[in-house]
Amino acid sequence: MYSERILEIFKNPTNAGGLQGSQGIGKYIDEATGDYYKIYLKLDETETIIDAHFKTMGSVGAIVASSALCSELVNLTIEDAKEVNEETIVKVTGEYPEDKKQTLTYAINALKSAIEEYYIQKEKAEKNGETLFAKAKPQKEKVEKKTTKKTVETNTEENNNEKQVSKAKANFDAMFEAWND
Amino acid sequence: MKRVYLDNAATTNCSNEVLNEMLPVFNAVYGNSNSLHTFGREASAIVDRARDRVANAIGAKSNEIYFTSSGTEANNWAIKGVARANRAKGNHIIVSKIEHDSVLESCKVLEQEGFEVTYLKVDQNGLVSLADLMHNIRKDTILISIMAVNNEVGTIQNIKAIAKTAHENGIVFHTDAVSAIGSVKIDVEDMEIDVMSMSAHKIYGPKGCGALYIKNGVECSNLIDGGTQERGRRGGTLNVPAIAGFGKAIEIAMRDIIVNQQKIKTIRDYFVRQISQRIQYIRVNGHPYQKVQGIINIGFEMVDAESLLMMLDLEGIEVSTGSACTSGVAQKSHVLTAMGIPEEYVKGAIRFSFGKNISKEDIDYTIDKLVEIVGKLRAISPVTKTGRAK
Repeated sequence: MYSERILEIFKNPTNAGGLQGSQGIGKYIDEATGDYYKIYLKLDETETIIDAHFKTMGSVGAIVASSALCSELVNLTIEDAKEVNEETIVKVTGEYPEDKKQTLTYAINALKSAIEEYYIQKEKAEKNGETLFAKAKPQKEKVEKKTTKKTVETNTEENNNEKQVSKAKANFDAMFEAWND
Repeated sequence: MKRVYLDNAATTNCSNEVLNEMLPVFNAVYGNSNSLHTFGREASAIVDRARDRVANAIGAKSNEIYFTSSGTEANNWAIKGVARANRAKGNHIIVSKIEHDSVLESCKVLEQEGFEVTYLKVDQNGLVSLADLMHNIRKDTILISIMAVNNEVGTIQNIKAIAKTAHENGIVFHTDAVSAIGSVKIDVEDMEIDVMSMSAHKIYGPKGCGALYIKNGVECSNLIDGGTQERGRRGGTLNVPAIAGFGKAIEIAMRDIIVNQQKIKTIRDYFVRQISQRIQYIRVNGHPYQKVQGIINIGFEMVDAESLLMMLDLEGIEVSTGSACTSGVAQKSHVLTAMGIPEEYVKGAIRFSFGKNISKEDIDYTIDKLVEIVGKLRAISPVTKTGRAK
């Protein structure tokens, strides 16, 4: 059973969604359950993580581990991020249910993959005489706007179905009343 | 917060009619039904009445009904009891892959005792093939057990045909009817059922009470020894209040079966239609029409069922990812896997099970929240509709 604290994070996860301009994107898939973790890291010239986001398909434990992990990564250097482990996440979330503890490790695996990816991208950029850090600024607002746009798109799609839905509801009302009679 | 209970296949509330039947038995008629004195005889009369009601509901004789503590106990008793009692005739058992764990685990125990078990596959709709069953019958087959209605997807098996096939080969036929009682009419005589498991709490009765029908003449050894209760076949002081409740519950279930099923069908069809219109990339699992009205299993692509269940729960909507007996464990549904349902739909499969007390407001609230939550979870999912990473 999950604690209230874990459920609270699950209800309102922070750092959810993709992150434009991230220099390190890591993923981890647990073949047994099909859980899929993706971590996005955005760094500045000092190799400090200025933003971290996640996309995760998995259990409550998987989503909360990803969210708590990302919130702890911000303001760490990439070197410091290498030291982040399961205990770092548990400090935010509180104790995990025994059968969900593996999700902490999987989220950390996705982070490790993101750090590796960052170094690969960095090496590539340096070989080409380029830099990964184009006027780095927190992109949170931009992302939030994007999320809003997505919601609007969804709403538009829903509106297109509104007539059909209303018609079905009316039909149901009639059926239900008939049944009650 | 509004609360909507859509997990009636896990358990139902105890109805007022049933509760009223039970309450006096807790304090006024509290005798041990096995005692010889008046208090005991009064309790025994209540048990007899309940036994008559259960027997009438399924077309059995009263002396063919044995009360148990649960459907799980009834299944354990049926599988182990029939197998062990008939061992001299053979040691082969046939069950389907989508049986309840209480059947499958009992078979595992029997395998350790030297029995051989064939686990029949099912098709994509969850049906056992009669041809496949016949192909797997051997000379030493002593028991066939196929559930009447699957508890996860609601598919109704062709029980009568399976029972006939069993009898043509001199084999005992058992069916787990825990999810069938109250949803489909069952006549053990007409359907040629030898042994059948039932439970009270799925039909607005109390928890902690089940029953096993054992046709007179069918050999079935005891599971629980150490008492003369149930004509010496199942030891243990009877749970008289629960048994009284079970008797009332099954009587009501059969009395109201048509009207309840019509109401639930209307609601179920409306729910599925709305969900299909408003949420993309879903799959309704189970047979398209040969299924009970109250259970609908839907796979939502790109989301995880546990997260979806918990998000719904935080909004007051209670559903299940499968059988409640196993859903606390992180494992894929053995039923959906056996049916060959694509992985992406198994991972996001939710069972909605409707009860007779559901209202239209409840359903509209659920639909709106479901649309919202699936959208929210898909927005943070790294998987696209084609199953590849974004």
